[in-house]
Amino acid sequence: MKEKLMFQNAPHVRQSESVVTMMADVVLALLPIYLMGVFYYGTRAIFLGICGVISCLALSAIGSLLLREKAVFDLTPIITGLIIPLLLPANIPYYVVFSACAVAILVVKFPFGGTGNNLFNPAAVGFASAAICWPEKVFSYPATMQNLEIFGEVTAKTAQSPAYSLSLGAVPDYNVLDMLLGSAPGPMGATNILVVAACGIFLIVKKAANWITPAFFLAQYSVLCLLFPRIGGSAFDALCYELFSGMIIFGAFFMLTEPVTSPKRDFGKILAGISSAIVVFLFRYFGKFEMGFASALIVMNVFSPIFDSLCENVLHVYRHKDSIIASFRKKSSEEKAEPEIPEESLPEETLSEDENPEETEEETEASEKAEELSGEEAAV
Amino acid sequence: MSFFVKGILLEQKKEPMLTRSTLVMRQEFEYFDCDFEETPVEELSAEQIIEIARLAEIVDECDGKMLWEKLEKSNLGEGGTLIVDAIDDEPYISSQMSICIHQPEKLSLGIELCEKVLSPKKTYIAMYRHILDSNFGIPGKIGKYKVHKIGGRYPAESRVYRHIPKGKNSVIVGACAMLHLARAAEESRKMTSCFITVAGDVVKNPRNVEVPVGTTVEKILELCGLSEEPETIVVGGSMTGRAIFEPENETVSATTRGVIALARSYGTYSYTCIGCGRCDHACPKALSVCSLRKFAEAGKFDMLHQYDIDMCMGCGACSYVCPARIDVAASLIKAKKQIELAKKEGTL
Amino acid sequence: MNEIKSSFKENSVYLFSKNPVLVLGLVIGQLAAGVSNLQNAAALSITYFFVVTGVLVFASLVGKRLPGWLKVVAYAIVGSMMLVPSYFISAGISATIFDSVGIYPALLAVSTVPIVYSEKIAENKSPLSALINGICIAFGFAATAFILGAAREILGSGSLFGFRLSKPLFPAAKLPFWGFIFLGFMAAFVNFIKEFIKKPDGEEEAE
Repeated sequence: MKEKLMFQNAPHVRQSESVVTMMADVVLALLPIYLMGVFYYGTRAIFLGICGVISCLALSAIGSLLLREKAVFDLTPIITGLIIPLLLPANIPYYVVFSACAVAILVVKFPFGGTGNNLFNPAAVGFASAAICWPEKVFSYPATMQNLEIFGEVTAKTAQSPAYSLSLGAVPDYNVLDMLLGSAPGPMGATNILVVAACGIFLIVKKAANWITPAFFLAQYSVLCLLFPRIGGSAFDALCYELFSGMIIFGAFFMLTEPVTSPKRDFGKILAGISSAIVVFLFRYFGKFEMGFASALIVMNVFSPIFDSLCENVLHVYRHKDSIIASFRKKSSEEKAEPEIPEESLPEETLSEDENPEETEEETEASEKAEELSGEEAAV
Repeated sequence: MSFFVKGILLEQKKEPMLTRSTLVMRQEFEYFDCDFEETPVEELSAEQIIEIARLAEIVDECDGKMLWEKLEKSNLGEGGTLIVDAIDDEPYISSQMSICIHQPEKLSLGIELCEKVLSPKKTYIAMYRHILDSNFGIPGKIGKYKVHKIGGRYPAESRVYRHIPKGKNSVIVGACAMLHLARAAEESRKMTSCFITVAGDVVKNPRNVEVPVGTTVEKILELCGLSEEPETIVVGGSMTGRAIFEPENETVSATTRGVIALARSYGTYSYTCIGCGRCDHACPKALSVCSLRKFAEAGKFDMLHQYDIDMCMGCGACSYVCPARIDVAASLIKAKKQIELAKKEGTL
Repeated sequence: MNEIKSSFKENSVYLFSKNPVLVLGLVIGQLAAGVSNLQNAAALSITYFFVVTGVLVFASLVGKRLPGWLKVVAYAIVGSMMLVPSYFISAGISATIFDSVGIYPALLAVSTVPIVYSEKIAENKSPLSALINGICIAFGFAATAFILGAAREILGSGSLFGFRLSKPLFPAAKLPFWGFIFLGFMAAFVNFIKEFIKKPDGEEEAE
């Protein structure tokens, strides 16, 4: 045993999942959507994706250089580079994709500290800035089943997207089955609902995305659509048209669940899902262009730390409920002369086995014991 | 994904150490003299038992305190519970469980003696039940004492307190201390040895061993044999132990539960925190671990206090689940120590 | 003469290393939203110049003799009065400049420097040094405003001071959102230069 031993911090067993495997799952989930884009719009779809990925990778290398840190290759620029073209129509020129990626990486990600520190969803901000600069290019969708030219000027027959029809109060020209399968015009990646939903569920099963935010978002949005339909006809039809138009389903599974900008606690995620649904609903009903989802997402990103600290405050009271109850009782009853906190005399609800434990005297002992065992003290 | 189930599910990896017999390192026994050496064990009184524990210098391995002090100061009163701690919920470690399996008679005798001192209403032995990779079945009774199987996820030690009827006192003693008490009563032997699990993928003969207190780690590893040079040696539990650099100078004591020699260290990544929130999920005390770590690295002690860092148990579940392999638990423990130091110095 | 020179040297920090917008963070909102082209930048710089110099000189002359509750009101009134000469001078740029620039000159008249800074610092100075102080602060503001306005106009409208140069490259640059982001990048750049200068010399260089 003469070789130098390596130091490692406790605990000394670790699970085998890593950030790269989680991100690789997301990339894998985005590829079938590109294949569907190829099916409807020709090979231009893949080239748009490649353009996005290459620009994001190059720009994030520049960004790491500016931050003066070693460039760690995690797959987050690839994910941003793949999501941005999916939000744009298939006949978009390449420079629009490049500028959206430039904004996403150089304005949203790196000035705030790089991976893990962005305040807003980079894809949403990139798409929003492209939409403000070139609204006529970003919101005119080509009709499906056309083979678009890969380079050069693209001449394509454009069609009105269902989301636009809904905002006018008219029933879209396509029936629900068409929209489910993706034959309706719209953003390149957001129209084929079946494939998008399947990829989203794949992500949830692999634990690369959480199930809480999309579930509550979709539930609350459905409730609001049923309460305030924009078109006549059966309520179920109105609901389907609302859910399947625009980028609701795609955004719910791929953009709302971005780990950096969403709340960390479960209850915070529930609140984020519900309030995102309300804000998206307002933007789509009263907004001018069809970028309601991206704008709503940017607004809700501001609130996630607030939801987290709300959750923490509630849990803080729950953790200290014994001492809070005891201090109330001590104030209210003066004849009891007990100097100690009377934890043993409190009537305890029987907790189920795995609920959050409360701090008792015995647990302080256990925590002391665990501390002793874990410590870097020389003599045990 | 669940709201209420906290903690992590760990592969226990207790075989083959659990079912192999305990290897005893050659040692010199030490004896003590007392006035009532001739009294048979069944007729010892409570004060005599406490005196035996004091003369034998028995250290209780679950908290490092002297057993005789614990017995003397505990006042169980009406309907108290005596719990014998044989919970080994960390991977690899089975030093307390092996006593229950391989030396049940001495354990029963020790518990009987303890019962005489404390007179509890209920006594049971607590063992962790989820040894999923072993065919070993935890017995329902050891001697005449019921075995209470603790379930749930790691960390399970805190759950034993859930099964105590509320409002009554309880005393927890370690299984190894009971064994030493039985030996002291029957043979007047002092406690000179301790039980350690030797494990790891470079150990040729992983098993539980009984070695004299103060043996160096190097000798213990030589006893079990090494197939190659380890990259890391851990002393203590696998989730809460510490890595050492000088096995020839590092000694073991009663509270060291294991020595683990690993071929490769677990490997660090250089990824930053992506805010996935798995650490918050895994924390058994439902703390906001992600935020605590950020405050700890920024040195914001008042925010740490507000977010209840005092309730951190140091179990290491948060570091276990982190996909970026960030040493979350180590940051929190270090921050706690800094806070204590600042409180003592009065600078807080 | 010596006093003027030393005063200028002392106040030259306000151009770069203590730039009122980029380092002290003073009138960011008015700049980000109001300065979307070079003409607006010129108008706002002229306004700020008059307001700041006027109020600082007034404070150094009269400030100490005013009771506390009247000071803020007096400075606000004087600041607003200084909008009159600035209106006449900036009308030379374009007749409708004050319409396009909106409420922002009025907001500049009651911003931090006229109200708070004059009370804390300018009252203790002589009128001449207060004047020079005001000139330097206004220059710092003007430098930032001109650079910002020029960048946003070239990118956003493809013109410079009203003369068309090319097609607009990035039409969203006119929006206040991008004004804040540009200001953020400029502030980061100034910080970077400051650190860069500090390192080889070991002490801060006031430009």
